Amino acid sequence: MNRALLFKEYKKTKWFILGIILAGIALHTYTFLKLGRSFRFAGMEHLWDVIINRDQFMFRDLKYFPLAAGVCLGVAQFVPEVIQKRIKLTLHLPLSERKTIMLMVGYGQLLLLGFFLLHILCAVVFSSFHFPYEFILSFLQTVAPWYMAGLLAHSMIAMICIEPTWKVRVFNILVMIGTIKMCYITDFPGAYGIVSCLLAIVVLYVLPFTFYSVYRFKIGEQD
Amino acid sequence: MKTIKYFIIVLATGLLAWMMPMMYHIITDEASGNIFTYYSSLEKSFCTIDFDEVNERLIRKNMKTGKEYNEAEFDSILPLFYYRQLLSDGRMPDTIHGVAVTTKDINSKTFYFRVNPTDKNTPHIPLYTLFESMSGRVNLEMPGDLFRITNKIEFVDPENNQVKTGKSALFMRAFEKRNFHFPAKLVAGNPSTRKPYEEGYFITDSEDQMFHLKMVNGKPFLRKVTIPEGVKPVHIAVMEPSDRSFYAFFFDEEHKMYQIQTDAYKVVAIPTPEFDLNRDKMMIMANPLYWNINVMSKKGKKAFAMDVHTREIVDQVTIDHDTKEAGFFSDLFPVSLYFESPYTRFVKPMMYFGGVTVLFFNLFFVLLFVGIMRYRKQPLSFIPLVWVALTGVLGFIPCLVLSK
Repeated sequence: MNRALLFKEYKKTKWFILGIILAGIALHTYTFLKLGRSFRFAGMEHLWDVIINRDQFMFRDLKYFPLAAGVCLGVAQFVPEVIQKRIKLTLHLPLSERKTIMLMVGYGQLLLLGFFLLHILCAVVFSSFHFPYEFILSFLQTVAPWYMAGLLAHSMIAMICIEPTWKVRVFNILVMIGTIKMCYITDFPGAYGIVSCLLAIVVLYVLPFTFYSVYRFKIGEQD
Repeated sequence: MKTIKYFIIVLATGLLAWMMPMMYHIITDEASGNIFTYYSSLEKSFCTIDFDEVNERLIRKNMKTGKEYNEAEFDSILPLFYYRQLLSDGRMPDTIHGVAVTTKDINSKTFYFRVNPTDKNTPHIPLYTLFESMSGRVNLEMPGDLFRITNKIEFVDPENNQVKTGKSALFMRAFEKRNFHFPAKLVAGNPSTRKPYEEGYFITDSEDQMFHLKMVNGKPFLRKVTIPEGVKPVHIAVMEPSDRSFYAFFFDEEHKMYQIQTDAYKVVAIPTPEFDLNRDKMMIMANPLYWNINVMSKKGKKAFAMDVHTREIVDQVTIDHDTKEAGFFSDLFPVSLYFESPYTRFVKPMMYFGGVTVLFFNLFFVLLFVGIMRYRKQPLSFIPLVWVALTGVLGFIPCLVLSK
C-alpha cells in the first residue's frame, strides 16, 4: 500500500519534479556562466574584493527558486486531491490517516530536501574551486534560509489545501506568508548566522500542522 | 489534535507579535529630524540649523544666546565649517581669537569620522586585503592576495585559490618574533584603494595585546602598540587622515574611546560621555581648533565640543527626541518581536515587553473572547483563555479563528 501511495504521488508530480530539476540546472548554469564571465572580465582578485569588502553576494539569483520549487511541488501534490475531491478517498485507504498524510508530505519533503542538498552541493563544489572556505561558509549561511523557505512552503501548502473552510484557509495562508517572510528578512551575506538553526526548528515545527487540517476535514468542518 | 492546534496558535501569535509592530512602523514611521549642530570657534557656543515647519524656513541660530542669523552671517560665525564659501567671498579671517588659521591647516586637520553599532555587529568574511604601504606609486594597487589570520597568518592567491606559502611563512615569522598569541581577536583595516596612503591593519591577539601590521616593500612590519593596562578593545576603526596625525580609533569594553596617534603610537583617551557602541551612533567633525563629537541615541542627540589641544570638553548640548511611539506599543502589545535592529546587521530575535497598562487591554480581550464564545454557544477552554490573558490581542486573533 505504501508503495502504491508513493507511486500515486510520483504520477501526480513527475512533470513538476522534472520542471524543478530542469529549472534548478538552468539556474545554476546561468549563475556559473555569469560568474565565469565576471572572472574573465573583472578578474578573480576584483571579484574576491567585491564579495569580501563590499558585501556583494554572487548567488542572489537563487533567492526565490527554492520557494517556487516548494510551492510548485505542494500545489502538484495537494491541489488535485482537493479539486478532484480525491482526498476523501485517500483518507479512506486501508492505512491510518496519519500514515497516509505522513507518506504524502514526507514524499514531497524528502524529495525537496534531497534536491536542495544536491543543488547546494553543486554550488559548493563550484565555489570551492574559485573561493576560499570562508566564502563557502558565508554562502551556506546566506542561502540556508531560502532553501528552508521551500520546505516550509511545501508543508504549509499541504495544510492550506486540505483545510476544509475558507476562513481558516485564509488564516493559514497568512500564517504561511508570515512564516516564509522569516526566511527573507535580509539577504545581507551571512546575516542569518546561527538563526538558521532556529529556522530549521520552525521547519520541523510546522510539519504536523497538516494533521490538524486533516482532522478538521474528517470531522466535517464546513464554511 | 488540540496540541497541534495550540502549536498553530503559538506560531500565529509569534508572527503577529512580529508583524503588527512592523506594520505600525511601516505606516507611521517618519524621518527623525537630525538637527545640525556645530561649535562656533568664534562665538564659543553651539550653533544650529533647524527647520521651522510653520513658516517653512531654516532657522540658523546660536544655541546659547538664541540670536538668529541669515545665511551669510551664519557662514561667518562658523568659519572652519564654511571656509570654502568664506574664501570664495573673500571673508575668511586670518585668525580666530588670536590663533592663525590657514587653508592648509584647515584642509589637513579637518576630518569626519562616523561609527555605528552596525560597524561592529556585522557579518564579515574574515579575509583581509593588505596593500603595499611603500609602493612609491601615487595610487594604491591591489596586492594580488588576501590574508586570513586565525591560528596562523596565511596569504591566499585569488587567481588559483591557493595559499602563498613563501609570503605566509615570512609574515608568520614576524608574528612569532613579536610574541603574538594566536588566534587574532580583532582585525581592522581600511581595505580600499580610494585613500591617500596605506597604514595596514591593527590586530588584537588572544590576550588583547594590540599590534600594527603593514607590508613595507613586500616585507612584514609588525609593531606592538602599548595600550593602557586592563583595556580590552572591542572595536577598532582605522583611518588614514590627511595630516597623518593618527592611525585609528578604538573602543573598549567600558565604552571608552581611544585614539592611536602616529607620534610613537601614543594612545590618548577621547572623552565621549554616555556613548555605548552597541546602541549609539557617533560622528566626529574635526577642525584645527575643536572636535564636534555628536552622539546619537534613541533618546536624542548629544553634541560635545572638545578642545583639540587640551582634549577637554568645553561645551555640550542635548537635543531630545520625541519617544511617544514606544508608549503605544507598551500599551497595546504585551510583547513585540523584532528580527532586525539598527544596532546589528545580524538577524536576531529580540523581544520587548509591554508596560503595566497592557494588563487592562489583555483583560478587555479576555472578556471579549468570553463574550464571543458565549454568543457562539461554544464551550470555553482553559488554555486559550490563559493564552489570551497572557498575550492580549496577539493571542486573541488566532484563538478566535481556531476556536471551532
